[in-house]
Amino acid sequence: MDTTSSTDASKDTEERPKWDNKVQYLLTCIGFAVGLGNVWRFPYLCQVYGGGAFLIPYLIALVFEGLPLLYLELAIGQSLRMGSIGVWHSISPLLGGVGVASMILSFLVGLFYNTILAWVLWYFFHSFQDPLPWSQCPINDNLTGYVEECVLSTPVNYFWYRKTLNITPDIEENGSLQWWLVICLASAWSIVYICFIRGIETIGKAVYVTATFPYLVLTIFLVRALTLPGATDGLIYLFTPDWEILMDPRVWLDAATQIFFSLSLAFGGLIAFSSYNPKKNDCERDALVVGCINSATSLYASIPIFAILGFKATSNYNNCLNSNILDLTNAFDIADKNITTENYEGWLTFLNASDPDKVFSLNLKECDLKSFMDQSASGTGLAFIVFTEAVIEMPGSQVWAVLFFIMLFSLGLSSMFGNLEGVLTPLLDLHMVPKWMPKELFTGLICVVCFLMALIFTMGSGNYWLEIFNSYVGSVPLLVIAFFEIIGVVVFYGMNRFSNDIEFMTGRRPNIFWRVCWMGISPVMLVVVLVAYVVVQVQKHPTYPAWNPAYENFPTLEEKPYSDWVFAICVLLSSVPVLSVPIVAIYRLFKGQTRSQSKPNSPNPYNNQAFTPDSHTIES
Amino acid sequence: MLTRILPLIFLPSVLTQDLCKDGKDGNKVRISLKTGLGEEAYEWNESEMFLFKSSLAFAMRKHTGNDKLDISNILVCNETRRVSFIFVVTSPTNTSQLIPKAEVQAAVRNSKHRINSAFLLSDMTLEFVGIPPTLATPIKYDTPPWLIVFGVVMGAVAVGILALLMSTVTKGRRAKAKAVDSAEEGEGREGRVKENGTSLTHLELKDGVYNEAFSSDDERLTQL
Repeated sequence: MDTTSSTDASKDTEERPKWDNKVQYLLTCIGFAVGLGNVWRFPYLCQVYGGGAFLIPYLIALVFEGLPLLYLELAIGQSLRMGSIGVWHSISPLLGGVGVASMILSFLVGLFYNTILAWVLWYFFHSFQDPLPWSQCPINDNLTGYVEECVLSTPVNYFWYRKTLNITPDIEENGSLQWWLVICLASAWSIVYICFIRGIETIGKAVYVTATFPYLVLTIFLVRALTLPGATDGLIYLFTPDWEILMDPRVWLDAATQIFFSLSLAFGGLIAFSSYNPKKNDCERDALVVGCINSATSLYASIPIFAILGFKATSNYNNCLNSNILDLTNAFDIADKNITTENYEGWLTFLNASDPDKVFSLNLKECDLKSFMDQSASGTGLAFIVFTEAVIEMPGSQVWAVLFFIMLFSLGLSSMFGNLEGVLTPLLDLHMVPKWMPKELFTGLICVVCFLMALIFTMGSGNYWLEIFNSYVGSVPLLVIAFFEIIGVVVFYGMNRFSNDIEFMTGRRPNIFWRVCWMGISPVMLVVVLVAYVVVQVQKHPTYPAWNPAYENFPTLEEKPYSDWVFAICVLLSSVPVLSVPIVAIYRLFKGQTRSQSKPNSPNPYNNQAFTPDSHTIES
Repeated sequence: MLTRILPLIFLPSVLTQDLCKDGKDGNKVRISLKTGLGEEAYEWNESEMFLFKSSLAFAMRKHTGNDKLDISNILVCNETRRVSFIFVVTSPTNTSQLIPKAEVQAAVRNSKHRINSAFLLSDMTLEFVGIPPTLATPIKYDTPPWLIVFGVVMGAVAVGILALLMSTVTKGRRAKAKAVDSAEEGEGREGRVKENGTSLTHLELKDGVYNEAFSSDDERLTQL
C-alpha cells in the first residue's frame, strides 16, 4: 500500500481545526455577539425612545431580521466549511467580493475596537488608587488652585479628555503619540494575541472566562445597584413606556440597526466559527440560542446601568439642592441644617416672600431631577464619564471601578476574537500562509500589523478618528454586505439546495417561517433600513463634537464640521469595503468564471471514476 | 457724680463695639456644627466662644511673636444663630487701634489646622470668609501606581505567551521525533516484508553468525 497517500488523507482531515465541545462553540458565538454595545448602546436607546415601548420594534427586528440572518450565516458556514471568502466563492465566483468585503471590514473594525479596550485598560490600571484619580481636580503648577480646565468642566471630564486622551481641539491637529496610550494599546494587543495565538484552539479555552465573567459582574452590579438610593427612580424612568414614540420612523430604524450590529452579522466571524463545526449539528437551535441570549443580555444589562444612572441623577440633584441650601443659609444667617432637602421648598417660598431681591441676587441653581435623569449618554461617554462619576459616589469605589472595567474588557475581548477570526480564517483557507510559517507566527504578525495601524488612534486627535471609523465603517458597509449575503444564498445558491443542506445537517427542512423571511421579509427590511439610514445621514452635514477649552461655551462640546479631506476619507471608508463586491464580480465576469468549478461536498455515488469506459474498444 | 461715672464705665465696651462694627478690618466667621459633626455636634455657647477667642489669640501671638497680646484683644460682634460672627483684633499696645485685616488673615492661615482641630472641624465647616481653604498637597508617587499594575499584567501576559510558544516548540519537536520513529518503523517493516522472513532476520544479525567451524588458524597444520 502506498504510504504517501495515507499521510495526505490524514493531513486533510487534520488540517481543519474543530471545537473541543459544543459549549465552546456556543460561548464563542455568544461572546462575539454580546459586546460593548449591549451595555452602552441598548440602554441609551431604550431611554431615548420611550422606555418599555422600544422593546416592541426591537423584538420585531430581532425576529424578522436578526434571527433569519444569523441562522443563514451559521448554516452556510457549517455546510460549506470555509471562511467568508471561500464560502462566497463556492456559492458563486461572482460573489467572491462579499467575502473580501467582510474580511476588510473585520480588519478595520478590529483596529478601532481594540483601541477602546486599550482605554478600558487605562482606566482599569488607574482604579487601584485611593482616591480615584477622576474624583478630584489636580492642583496647578504654582499650587494656588485647581487646574482651570478641570474647574470649568468636571474632574471626570478632565480625566477623560485631558489625562487619558490628551485630546486636541480639532481633528486637523494631530498632536503627538501619547506614550501612555501606546503602552496600553500594546498590552491590549498582547492580551488579544495570547488568546488568539492558535486560532480557535486557544480562543475556545479563553471564552470560558471572557464570555461568562460579564454575567457574573452584571449580577453583582444588579444586586448592589438596586440597594442604592434613587435606583428605583432610574428604573421607573427607563421602563416607563411612551407609546407615542412608536409613530416616529427613527425608532424603527434605530431598532433595526441596533439588532443588526448587536448580533455582529456580516463580519464573517460567525461564518468562520461555524465552519469548524462537525457537519451534523443543529444550527437552527444554535441561531435561536445565540440570538435570544444576546437580546436577553441587553435587557439584563440595562437594569443595573439604569439603576446606577438613577442613583447618579439623585446624588447630583441632592448636591445641587445642598449648594442652594448653603447659599441661603449663609446669606440669611439661618441656623445650620435648619433648611433640609425636605423643607427646602417651604423655606424658599418663605424667604422669597420676605426678601425677594436678596434671594434673586444669590443666583440659585435650577435643580430638577428630571433634567439630571435626561443627561444620558451612550458609547464611551457612558462608560468613561457618566459611569465613573457614579462610581465615585458609591462606597468602596475602587472595587466597583475594577469590576466594571474588567467586565468591559472581557465583553470587548470576546468580540475581538470574532473580528480577528473573520480575518484569519479566510486567509488560512486561501492558503496565503507560507508553509514554513507556523500558525503562532502568523497570528502574531496579524496582531503586530493591527497594532501599528491602530497607533493613529493614540494621537491627540485619535478619538475623533475613532468616531469616524465607528460611524462610517461599522454601519452602511455591513448592511450592504448582509444584503448581498442573503441575495447570494437565495438567488445564486438556491433555496432548494440550501434547504437540502440544512436537512442534511439538522435532520429537518427549514420551516415556512424561515423560508418566507429569507426570500421576502429580511431582504426587504434590509433595503428599507439601508436606504433610510443613508437618507438620514445625508440630510445633516456631518459634524463632530470637539473638546475645545478655548470655546466660549466650554465645557459644552463644540460642533465642528468635517473638512473636505476628512469627509473624503469618511466616504472612502464606507465605500471601499463595499466596492470589492462589484470589482470582483466584474473581474470574474471578464475571466468567464461564472460557475463554481469545485463542488466540495457532492461526490456522485453513481460515478466514482474508477472505471472509465474505454473508448478505443473495437466492437466486435 | 454717679451719672458721670457710669458712662465712663461703659465707655470701653461701647467703644469696642464700635471698633468691631466698623467692619473694615473685621473678619467674618461661619461655623457649621451640625454639618461637620452630625450627631456629635456640641452646642455653641459662651464657653465655645471663649475657646475661639483664645485660639485666635494663640494664632496672633504665634504669628506676631508678641507675648503681650491677650484674649481681651479679640473683639466679637454680630453673632447670629447660623452660627456666624465678625471679629477684630486690637493692638495690645493701643486698644483703640485694630491690627490690619491682611495680618490677621496671615496669622489665621498659619495656624488654621490648630484652630480647626480645637473645634473638631475642617476648612469647610469652620469658614473664615476671605481665607480660601488650604488645598491638600498632591501626593507624589515615586512610581505612579498605574504603572505597577501595568507591569504586573504585562509580566503575566509575557510569561503566558512564552509558555505557549515553548509548548508549541516542544510539541513540534515531539511530533518530529515521532514522525522520524514511525518513518524508521515503516522502513523496518517494509524491509521485513521484502525478505521472506527467516528466523534470523528479527535477530538483526544481518551479517550471520560466525560458527567457527572453519578456523583461519593454520597453526596446527604443518608449515611448509
